[in-house]
Amino acid sequence: MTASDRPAGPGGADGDDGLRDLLRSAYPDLPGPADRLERVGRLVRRRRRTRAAAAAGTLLVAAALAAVALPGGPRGGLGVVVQPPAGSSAPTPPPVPSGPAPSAGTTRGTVTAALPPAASTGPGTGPGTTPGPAASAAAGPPPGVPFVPGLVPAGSPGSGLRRVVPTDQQPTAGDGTGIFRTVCAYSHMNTDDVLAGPGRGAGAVPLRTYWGNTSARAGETGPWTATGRSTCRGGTVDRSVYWVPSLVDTSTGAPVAPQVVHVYLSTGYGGVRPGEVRGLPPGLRMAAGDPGATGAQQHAWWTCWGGDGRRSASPVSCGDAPVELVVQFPQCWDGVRNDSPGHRAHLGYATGTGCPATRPVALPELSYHVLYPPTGPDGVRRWRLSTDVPGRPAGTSAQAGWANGWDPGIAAAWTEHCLRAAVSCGSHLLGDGRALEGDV
Amino acid sequence: MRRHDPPDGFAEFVTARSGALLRAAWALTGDRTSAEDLLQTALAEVWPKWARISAGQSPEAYVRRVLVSTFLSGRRRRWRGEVPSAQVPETAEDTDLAGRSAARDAVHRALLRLSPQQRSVVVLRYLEDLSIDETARTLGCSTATVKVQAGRALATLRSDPHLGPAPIGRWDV
Repeated sequence: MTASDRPAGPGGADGDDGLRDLLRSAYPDLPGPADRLERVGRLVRRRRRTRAAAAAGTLLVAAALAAVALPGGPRGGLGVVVQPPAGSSAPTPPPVPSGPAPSAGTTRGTVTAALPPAASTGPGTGPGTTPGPAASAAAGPPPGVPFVPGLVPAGSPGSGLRRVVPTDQQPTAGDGTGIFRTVCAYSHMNTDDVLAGPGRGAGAVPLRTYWGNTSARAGETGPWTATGRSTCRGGTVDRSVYWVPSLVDTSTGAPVAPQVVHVYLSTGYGGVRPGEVRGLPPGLRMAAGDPGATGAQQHAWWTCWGGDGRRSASPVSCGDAPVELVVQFPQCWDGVRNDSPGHRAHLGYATGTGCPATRPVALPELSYHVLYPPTGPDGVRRWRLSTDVPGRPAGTSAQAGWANGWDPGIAAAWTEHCLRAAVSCGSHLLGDGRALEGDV
Repeated sequence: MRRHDPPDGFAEFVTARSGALLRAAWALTGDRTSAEDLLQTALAEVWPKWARISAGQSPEAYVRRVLVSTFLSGRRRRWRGEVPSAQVPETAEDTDLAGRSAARDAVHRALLRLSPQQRSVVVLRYLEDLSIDETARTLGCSTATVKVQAGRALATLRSDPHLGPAPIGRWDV
């Protein structure tokens, strides 16, 4: 389902003014830092200094500048870090590691040693950040595309709090569809098959990237509502386990952490009427996408965040926009099993006229939008999913997994007030006067 | 005037017009931190030439032009890399509960789905309320280009699954 084949709304019929009002309400006046002018002044002086340095030898300018004590940089206030624009300063050096890599590991294969770890997306310590594959019990290298365990990026520690707050914000009327969205930070990576069952699955699968429940690893088999912190909005109200195969930069062996992940729960597509969906069953587990695909997949694709929605079988460079992996889960359930071999057989996709007779129970449609850092074409060409098979196009083995860890009461709220009501709850609203709070 | 004092009238301009410029920068960049960076970069650019700019017809239009061209030139990329955690649309909003409306969120996301050029057209034309001519001048392109880009942008916004029906109307350019 691309944006373009989703139905357009009935129309507000208020023409340009509708858009004007919408934009003004979406971008209200902001308070700026009180010292904005001073910061600009410092930036101007920096530029002058850089230019003077470039034109080295002009004594007059040098003397004038010597009088200026250059500050360390306009850091503070909003946390803004202002750099001189490109072309007027030396290139920014790449980030250097600020501490030891998250887990010790051996350099494997042809990977170049002594590379800095990939930039991490989080503070780097905490209960969710430990699992390098080195921590798993399996002997020998894990399956899949080689990576350097020491370069597994540290993730967000998540929250151990239940972060639900009252709000007077209301959902916006839908166009026959309902949506609830949550946003999650990258948590950790490991090579465990977390759905394999007690005592199994350690080191069994190609590297996976997790968000949501920070304790997703072999030996932790759920119920996922009971334990773990969460890197998603709302904290422990969503301890679901979310994963995709990890993206690996094959030139360095460094796994690439997502910047952030958007998880959508929606209704009104595939011929399923919003009012007929049931809540996601507690304990439900499922997988989507075809790791054996040899080309473009129907329910998993790559695109550009902020782009025109065009799908690609492989990761594409998006300039300065994030590279987005989308995976859609099936929403039609057999009504009986919480799991099945391969985690797929108990569910099926809607047909366009609703759910098929063999999978008659309509559930909310779950989809992942995994945002990877903006990367140029050369960088993207070096990317592989850990599950990719040599000789097949990069990224075509995309798949995803999920184990329900939602607090039943909270899930019931967004199911009823957002999805069944066919309104847009955005990424925070439960539709009943409460909202999820989060750091991402 | 000491060498490092702002030029005459500059401080007053910054006080009076920064709010509107920051709002445009916010809509362009999608997050407030980058917006403030972009605004400061643009202001630093015009500072040394302020005497000439303020003598012109519309200093604000000039600054807006610098702001947009700085945004489109990708010069903001450098400091983006300096922001410790990657910014995506709504993550910068977490201190503003009032700003957390789903509708706003949908608009932010929808705008970020547009190309930088199309987003610039939408911001100038509909948030800043410039005419087609003014938009074209600001972007340094033809009015035909503005119309085409606006048309495409509106088509994309109309089909955005996260915008409710309210904005999805007949948006002529």
